Amino acid sequence: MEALNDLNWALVAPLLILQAILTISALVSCIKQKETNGPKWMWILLILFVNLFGAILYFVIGRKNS
Amino acid sequence: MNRFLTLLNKEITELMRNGKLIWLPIVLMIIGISQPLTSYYMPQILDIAGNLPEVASITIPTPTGEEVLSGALSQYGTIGTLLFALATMNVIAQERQNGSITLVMVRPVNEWQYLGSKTVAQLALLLLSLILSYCLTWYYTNLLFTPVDWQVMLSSLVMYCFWVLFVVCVTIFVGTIIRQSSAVAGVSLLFLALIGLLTSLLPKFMEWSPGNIRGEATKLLVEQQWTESAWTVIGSTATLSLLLFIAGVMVMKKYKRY
Repeated sequence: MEALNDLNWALVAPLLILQAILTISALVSCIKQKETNGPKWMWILLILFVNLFGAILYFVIGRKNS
Repeated sequence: MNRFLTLLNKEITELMRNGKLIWLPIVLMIIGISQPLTSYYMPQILDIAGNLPEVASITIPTPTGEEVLSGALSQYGTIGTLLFALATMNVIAQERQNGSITLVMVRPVNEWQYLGSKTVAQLALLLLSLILSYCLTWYYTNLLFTPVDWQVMLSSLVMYCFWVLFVVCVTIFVGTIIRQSSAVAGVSLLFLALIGLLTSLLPKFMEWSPGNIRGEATKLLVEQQWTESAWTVIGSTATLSLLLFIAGVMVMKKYKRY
């Protein structure tokens, strides 16, 4: 994986940081939520493993507002 | 005016509470930045992932800064529009489902203030996200490719903001008619896609169409001058958005379906 060493991390870091903020805020919101649409563990898995779209999906359809 | 401000305040609190204020700007920024980054690392990506034949020597021309920015605009046009519609779809539908719209409407609030506060709050959020994302993309483009003049960047951004205005007005108008939030997103996306299709099928009759906005913004980036047709498109989009807003208020007044 020589290409990985050539990568300029200063360029990619903001992308990773943004991604991390999104994932963490989605996780916190999901755990704090009393009830979600569908099982909560499924949403946590989705947020953690489906990059970007997991968190978006959770925010758009996962939250249940009483 | 005072009531309008109170309603606006409520909308903004709502935006914070349901996390829209966090995810929309971040997601748009990610989409924006990845455009210059993937263009910059394209040769390496092809090296690792692409099954290019060894013998063929393939040279990929490095895009100019303007081309990268217009690539970002086309990203906003597809994924961005989808996200905009998804973010705006449940502003009215949700209040209908949990009944809070009745609680609001029994007070001395008229439909103009109600719908106006919703439109302004959503528009502010989407424009804020778009501006943040586009400025960041511009910064990256200047860093990695040829620099783009800030005035050119700004004018294409202003141009593109009108598309966002149109998307918000369409979604909110559909929201006044249809109750289910997923159907709201579906119908508005279908409508927007139809406009895009008609614009590309009948270019002669659709010079005024909002579907031309992205093309005009790209033209601004590449040719760097503000043409007559840009004014036509902006004017017609602003008018159409205003008409859609008024129609939404009329629908709410007429049917009183809360």
